[in-house]
Amino acid sequence: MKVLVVDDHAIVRDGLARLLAADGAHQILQAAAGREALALARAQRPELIVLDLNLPGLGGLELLRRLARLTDARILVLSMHAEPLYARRALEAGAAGYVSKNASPAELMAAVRKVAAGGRFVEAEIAQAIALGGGAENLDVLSPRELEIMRLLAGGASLAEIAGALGVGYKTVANTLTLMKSKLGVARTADLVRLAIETGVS
Amino acid sequence: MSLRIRIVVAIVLALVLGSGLGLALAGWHARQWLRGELVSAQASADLAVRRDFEGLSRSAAPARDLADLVGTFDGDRHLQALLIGPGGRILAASIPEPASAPPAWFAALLRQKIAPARLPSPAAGVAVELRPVDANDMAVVWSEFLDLALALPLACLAGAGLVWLVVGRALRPLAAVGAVLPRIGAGDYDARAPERGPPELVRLGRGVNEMAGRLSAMRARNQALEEQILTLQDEERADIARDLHDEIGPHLFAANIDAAMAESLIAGGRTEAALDQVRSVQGAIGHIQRLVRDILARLRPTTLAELGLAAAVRDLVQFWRARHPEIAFSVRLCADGGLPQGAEEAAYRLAQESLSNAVRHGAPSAISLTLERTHEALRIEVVDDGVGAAPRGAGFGLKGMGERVAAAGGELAAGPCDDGGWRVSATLPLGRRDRAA
Ligand SMILES: Nc1ncnc2c1ncn2[C@@H]1O[C@H](COP(=O)(O)OP(=O)(O)OP(=O)(O)O)[C@@H](O)[C@H]1O
Ligand SMILES: [Mg+2]
Repeated sequence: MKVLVVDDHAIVRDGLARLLAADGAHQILQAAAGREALALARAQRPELIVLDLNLPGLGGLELLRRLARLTDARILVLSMHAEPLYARRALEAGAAGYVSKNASPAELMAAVRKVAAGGRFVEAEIAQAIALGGGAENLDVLSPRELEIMRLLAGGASLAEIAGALGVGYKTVANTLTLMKSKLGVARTADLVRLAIETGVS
Repeated sequence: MSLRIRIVVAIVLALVLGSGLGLALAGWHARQWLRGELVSAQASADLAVRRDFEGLSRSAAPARDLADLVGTFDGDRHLQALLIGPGGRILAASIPEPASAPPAWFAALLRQKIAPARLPSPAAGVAVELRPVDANDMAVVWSEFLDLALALPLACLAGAGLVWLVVGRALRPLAAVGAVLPRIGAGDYDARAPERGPPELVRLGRGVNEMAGRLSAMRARNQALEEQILTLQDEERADIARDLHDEIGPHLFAANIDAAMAESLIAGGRTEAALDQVRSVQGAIGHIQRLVRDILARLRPTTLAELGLAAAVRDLVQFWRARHPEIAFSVRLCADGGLPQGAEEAAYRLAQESLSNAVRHGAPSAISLTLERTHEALRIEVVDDGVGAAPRGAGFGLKGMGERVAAAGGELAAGPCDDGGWRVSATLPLGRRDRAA
């Protein structure tokens, strides 16, 4: 079996290569970034692509879409992200499987085999979270007030303006933002704004 | 009692007092006038009667002439003439002009004692008496008094009303200022007092508005600072998350894979082959340890708390020296221990940011760092010979330094030097531990 491993960390690629080789893959190609991966996929026609989502340059999701369009290789996403939102997006973009780097090597290999054999595979924990309704692209987890804050954020309001508009203290807004960030699994306020615009709450 | 009512009451009192005084004066004048009228009327009547008495000696019927004489005084306004016979009997009397009498109390106030004049006539035993009659003049004074008594209260009332209006108008801005101040107190810094009315109140309103404006600016500044701090926190957290995610994550992943493979190799009896995997696990763990140490160092300058400022700064310089061997670092540290913790922390952060700025923005060939303690201040200076130039980026470094130094009550100068390069120089007072700590 010919496998293409795409990850920007050499140590990950090497580890994966060893693991795959031990499991019987006869040719393992490595790419550190999107362009390289596209070129290799086109030239070498691998049967399986193990793809990291967190890539410099093109970005993992976009690369995933292009690879899916370009080749008929089976694609297994191997990402640092264990949030259902990412898994859903990856599957929608054409991946046949999704495993986080927190999964055990055994589960990873199970995924590789299943996907290579033409099946679909989602890491048990993530699949469960998706089944429970996580990862929907809406902001159901937010309370109405939090949604309102999202809307104002997307409209470009500053924290002080939001506090003024909602008639609450500045500190309250800041605390609510922190809570929202942890609910949505993003790190900065800027990411909240991006998410708000993407999901169209404004 | 409100200020407005007080002012009006005071003015009305003054008016009433003034009116009373005026009335008393008018009364005194009226008495003088009355007396003058009566006395002069009596005097002229006296003359006329005496002249008649001269003709009486040649008269054929003196008794009739005397009665006629008395009759000529009929209708007089000021006096009554009487013919007194022997034994005080009244033989005839004139009828003075009738008058409506003023109230008795008023008459009693004005009444004057003027003695009747008795003129003995040449005809023996008979005399003419001239009695003053004040009823007519009293009536005149009374009617004048009535006019005054009506006009004065009216004038007082009008005056009071006018004062009420004027004072109310003048004080209206004061009430408005009074209403605005509690709102400002409650945090509504957009409330504004009117700047109208008399100059004193205009000044008051302006003062209040300036205060509100300054408070509002201060709040805006505080919020901007808070927002900046939050953004900084955000960035810092995101940085750490990225490091954990992008650096530590992959190494853990690789170590996990290798460990699993080693396990299966050993289980399969291929211990020799497992050695490779174990070594690669060790490599990954070593890498993770370095990363963790870096992250911790960023979170908290451990060396600072444990080894003191000088060692921590030397460490910092060592860090950059290792990464940029082409830059000549020179360090002069003349600060022994015993500094307040706040000053040490501030100085360390200044050194950290200045060094990283110099390396990142200046491309210098030399950087010198000086840390010096005088007995009441800590001075820190970082100079590089790089490109200098005016600040371009909108980073947080310079701002953060400024705020840190300001919070410690010190002074900071950071910017390009005249002859190229960049210079950061700060003085942190050591006396004010309370603010520096
Ligand atoms: N030593 C220096 N030499 C040349 N330019 C400098 C130097 N220090 C600062 N600057 C200029 O001042 C700007 C502002 O510096 P500041 O430290 O505030 O932000 P930054 O370094 O760009 O970002 P941050 O510190 O937030 O990571 C820099 O972008 C740079 O243009
Ligand atoms: Mg900086």
